[in-house]
Amino acid sequence: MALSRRNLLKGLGAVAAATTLSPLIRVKRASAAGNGKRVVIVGIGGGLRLRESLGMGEGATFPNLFGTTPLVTGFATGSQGAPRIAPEYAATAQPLALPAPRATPLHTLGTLVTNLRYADGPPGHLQGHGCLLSGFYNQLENRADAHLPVPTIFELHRRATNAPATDAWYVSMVGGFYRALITSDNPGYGPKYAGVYLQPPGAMQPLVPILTSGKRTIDVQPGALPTIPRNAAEDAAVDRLTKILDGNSPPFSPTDPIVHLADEDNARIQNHLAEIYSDGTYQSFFADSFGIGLRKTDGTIDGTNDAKTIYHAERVLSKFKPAVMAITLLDIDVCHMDFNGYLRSQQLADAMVTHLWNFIQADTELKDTTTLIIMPEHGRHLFFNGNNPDSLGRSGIDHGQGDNGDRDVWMLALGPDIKPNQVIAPTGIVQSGRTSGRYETIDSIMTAMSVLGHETAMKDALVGENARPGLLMQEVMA
Amino acid sequence: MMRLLLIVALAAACTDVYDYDAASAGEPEGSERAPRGKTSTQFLRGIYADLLGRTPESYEIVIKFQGTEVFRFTADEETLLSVSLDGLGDSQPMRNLIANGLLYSAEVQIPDKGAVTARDFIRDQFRRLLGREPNTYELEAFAAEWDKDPAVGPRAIIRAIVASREYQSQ
Repeated sequence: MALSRRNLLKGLGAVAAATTLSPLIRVKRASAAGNGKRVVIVGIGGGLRLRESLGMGEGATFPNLFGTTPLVTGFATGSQGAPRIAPEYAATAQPLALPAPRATPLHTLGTLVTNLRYADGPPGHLQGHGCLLSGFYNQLENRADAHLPVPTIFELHRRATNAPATDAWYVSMVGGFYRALITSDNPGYGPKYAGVYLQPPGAMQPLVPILTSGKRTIDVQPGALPTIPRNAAEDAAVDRLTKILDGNSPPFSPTDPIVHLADEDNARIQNHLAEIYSDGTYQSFFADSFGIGLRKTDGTIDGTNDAKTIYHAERVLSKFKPAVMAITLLDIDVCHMDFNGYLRSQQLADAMVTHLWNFIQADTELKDTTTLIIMPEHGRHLFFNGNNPDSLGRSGIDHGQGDNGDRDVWMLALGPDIKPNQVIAPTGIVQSGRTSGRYETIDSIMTAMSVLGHETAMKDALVGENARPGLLMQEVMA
Repeated sequence: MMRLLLIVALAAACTDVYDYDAASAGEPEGSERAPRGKTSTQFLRGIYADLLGRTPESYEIVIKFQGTEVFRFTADEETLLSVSLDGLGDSQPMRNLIANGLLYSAEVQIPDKGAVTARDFIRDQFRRLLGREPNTYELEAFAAEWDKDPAVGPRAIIRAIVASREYQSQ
């Protein structure tokens, strides 16, 4: 990809937005430690209602995942067209870059549970995604040092399989407190078994090499933007020398609030980052070839934060082939202030998740071993909040009060262990303490862990903390 | 008489006995303090001071294309680099990259390997970055690497020390 002024401007623009908000060491193929299977859980945050997604109440916002005919009743009937964007909004909005939709929706390849219930806990993004990472309804505080009391899916997998951290990734669009979700406070688990947390919009910044270069005026030269140079021989030497020093100093305190991964894990991660930061075209930060984002007047693409997140999740999948990956998207949370943006972000999320599925299917090792689970972390209120009303009588929508709009969600599961071509809404699900009578969010995570063979460990850990464990969704499994 | 009165007064004053609980300060002798990692901002401020001799700054970056200015923006080094560090759960790999990048900065002068003496340079960097002398093992191990590996020079020495747990600890 040739460098051009637009590429630089694109990269720098992304960085500006972000402010507001050993090469000799080969990557050891993790080979899906454990039973050889892999799970990728995508949380389409933040806050996606049944009405707009499966109900298609404002048109088909997920044509790739769900097609154009509503999959739940009560919101729309018959074949739906493109999402209804208010004309005054469409007149000024940057066009979306979207590939042509699939001929057959993805849900036909797997099982779609249309009546999932996020039954407990506050419908907040951190708590909702915390649940997706642990199968535990929680009231996690919005603090950087607040950890879940039960082990995360990363810790469960690593303790059970003795896998390296690079076999368990949390790729999150959002930073801040989400960083703390990588490990729990559970005494049997904890930071020793933490996964790798990567927030692509934060960690992958084209401005970093510009700052470290010490140059305050950059005259753009094609393919020769400032980089952080790589020197394989020097990197290997540095690694040896650092080991000499570290051999003479005690390990970090086990109570250190900062997660410290093993040297080998960090070396692999550094190697991955060094590849990106040594690319003078800046396409490694986000490549136009990804094809999804906001279309610019010159035909190129601005990557949204969700797009960067999926793009780098795919890079990680390709290189590390982890057994566990959780992905947090959050662009649709613009809905607090921008209902039309909420609909458009759904279209982008639909295209990105489909891109991710296609990416997995194109990898010979991943395609036969990977289960993909897609779900919102929670929904949104049943009522508008009045923010930025449009000419179609719609406005922003919040979340958090816990009405049915907040709690009625869905789950789509795909992969070799999942029964294909099912749309189900099971009722009469019985469990002590369960009042919904339906499958719940925690069941999705228990089912995901069962694919990896960790359901007993997860159940024991949850029961040990007096929490209600999720159920295995038998109907979903092939 | 005065002497007698003074002795009596002292004897009376010494009749009160006070007991204090044993107190300790610092770590027990011979034990090692388990280090805690520097925060992102602590690391950035430290490495800017150590490598560039200044604190992180906020300034305008000018972007030109074919010699013509296309735009400029204000960049705050500490804020932007902290965001990149906090984009990882363990930011050590990103810290190492930033350190490497700064050592290629226009603001930093790294001597050529042939222009310095190994042991003197190694000692100087231990003093500057860790505030101590290298012990005999460290000095000889570093010097041996310097002698046998062409890739080990001033930049590698600095990078290795900065990447060490000792430098990364509070």
